[in-house]
Amino acid sequence: MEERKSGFSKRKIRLFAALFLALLAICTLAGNTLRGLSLPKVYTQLAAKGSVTHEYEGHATVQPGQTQDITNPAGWKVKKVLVKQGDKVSIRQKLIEYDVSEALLQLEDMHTNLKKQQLSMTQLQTNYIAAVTDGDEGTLAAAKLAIESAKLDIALQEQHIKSLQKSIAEGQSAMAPFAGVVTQVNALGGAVPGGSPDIVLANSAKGYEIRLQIPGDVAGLLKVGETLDQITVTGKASRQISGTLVTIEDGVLGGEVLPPTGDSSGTNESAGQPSSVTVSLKDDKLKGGERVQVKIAKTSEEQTVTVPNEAVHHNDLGAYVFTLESKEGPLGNAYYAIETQIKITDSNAYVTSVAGGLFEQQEVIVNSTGFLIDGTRVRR
Amino acid sequence: MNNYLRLSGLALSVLFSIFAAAMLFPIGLTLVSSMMSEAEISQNYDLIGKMVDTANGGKDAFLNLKLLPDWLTFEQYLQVLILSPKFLNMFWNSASLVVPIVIGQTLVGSLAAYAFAKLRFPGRDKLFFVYLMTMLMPFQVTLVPNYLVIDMLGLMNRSSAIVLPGIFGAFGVFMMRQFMAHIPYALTEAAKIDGAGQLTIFIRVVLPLAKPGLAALAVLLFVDYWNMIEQPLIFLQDAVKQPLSLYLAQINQSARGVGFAASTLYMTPMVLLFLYAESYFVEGIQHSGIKG
Repeated sequence: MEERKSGFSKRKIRLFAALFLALLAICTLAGNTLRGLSLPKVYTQLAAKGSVTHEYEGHATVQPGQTQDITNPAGWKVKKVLVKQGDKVSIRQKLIEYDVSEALLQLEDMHTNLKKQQLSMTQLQTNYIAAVTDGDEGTLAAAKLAIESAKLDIALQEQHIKSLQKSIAEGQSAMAPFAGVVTQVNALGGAVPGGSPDIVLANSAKGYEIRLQIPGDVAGLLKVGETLDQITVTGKASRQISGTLVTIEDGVLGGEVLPPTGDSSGTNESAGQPSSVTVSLKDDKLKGGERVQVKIAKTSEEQTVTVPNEAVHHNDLGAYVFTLESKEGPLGNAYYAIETQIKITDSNAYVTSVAGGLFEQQEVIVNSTGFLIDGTRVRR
Repeated sequence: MNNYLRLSGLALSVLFSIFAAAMLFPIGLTLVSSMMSEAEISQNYDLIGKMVDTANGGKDAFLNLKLLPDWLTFEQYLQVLILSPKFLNMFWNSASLVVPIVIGQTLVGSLAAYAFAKLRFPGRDKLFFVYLMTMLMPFQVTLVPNYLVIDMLGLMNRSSAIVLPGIFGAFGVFMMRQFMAHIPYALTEAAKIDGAGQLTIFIRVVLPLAKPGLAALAVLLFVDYWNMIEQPLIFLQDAVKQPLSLYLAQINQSARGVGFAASTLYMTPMVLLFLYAESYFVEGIQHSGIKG
């Protein structure tokens, strides 16, 4: 009886021992799988010292630095346009010939009038001689006055003729006032010019320029007088040219500057507001109207701790990242995700520069397979 | 007279029950605490030591030692068995050290004990005395020579640095000799008359009779080596090779729950072995004349 009882309990013990060892064996062999089911896996990156590069890429059209509208003040018909858009012209080169036939007709009329006046003058002089002979004082004075008046009329007419002759001489063609490039031709052969200038001429001596709308974060790092050398003329014969920054006009309108929002998460205040920037280009082959691609890459000078943008989260207290903290325990190192408040000083599309709260070489969680809150235990 | 006997028997029963309860209490507390959450454990034990000293922030309250958890949780076991591989690693380290030692020393000890108990040869008792001497010396005394020998053999930081000295320990020889001394000569002599050689006598006659002794020896060795601290601490510098006995020492206040769970798992093999070999064990101890 005693033996049987003892045998039964031994079987139980054997079973229990087998179960215990099996449990330990399963936990040992399938440990990684089981661990994967219970802890979120995190992907980390070391916070490194670096700087934030702000990049801008855009297109612009080359415009001349100085242009001059060439028009015919007399409004004559255009006889012939001698240049076309894009032509290079030298100083005093003939650009347009105007039809002066109407002016010549007018001149002929004036000459005829002059002759008529001269003929009537002869008549007046005859009248004067007759008055002297008669000895009538009153008639003499009237004849003298008439002669004087006619002389003035003739002088005036002669002046008009001279003036018309001069304007015909000058206005029968339009000349280039300086060496440059024809950027616009509005005049048409045989047509009376409308309101717009006949030809627009760009001054080669003054060079070309482009105007760009640049985001505030990039514009904030630019200085007037700086040389930009990543300007590429697009098209068939693309080539690289350089330019000098001439003006920077902040896009901020008066009184619209927003007060900085909080100090812990204060990002670049002008980051959202674009600035208008003018760059003057010095290149002999430019004609104006070309499309250029402009690349600007500016790196902030100060070296700070940077983290990838994916690692930065926001809550009502500001920006924070999850750092990986290892706690040494009797079971070895256990890793926890710790919420660390940071102060953002600068950022671009990829990295964020952090001023406070984070140290170099600290492990920052970039991504995880599960939802993280402060203090979540994770696996690497 | 009969009544008196019955009363005294009852009194003894009560007395031993109290003793047994006192012995089992820490084990029970460990088991229960291993199923409590860390927060509950803090509530239970943080007050200890601060109770009286109310001037220094101690609380004037009763000790809040709960014997049943408010909320049953196996989180500590999850931590120990799944979330960290360290415990299991150390557990198998322990097993790989203890199992060869127990098997080896039982085998070597019983063979040597047979020679000491049943064979007659010159200098037998003196040699046995020398064996006894090594057993009487505590480990700390033989530590330095042990270290030097193991270093010279090039066994440092290897598990054989513990297994080899363990297999050839004197305790097994001593205990089995005591046990075999109680086996009557008549039996071995009869076997000899029947034409049996020494090995046959040992295997066929002595060993079956020494079964309880072997079981007792195995249990004692298992407990002894499962709990060893000094040898692995000195001979195994590599943390990955260290056994479970060193693990509990590393548990700190922040991980008491884990400590309870680990302790429960730690003592399970010993308890199971003891329960399994209990009847042999008692008999073996009685016959060998060794008392715990």
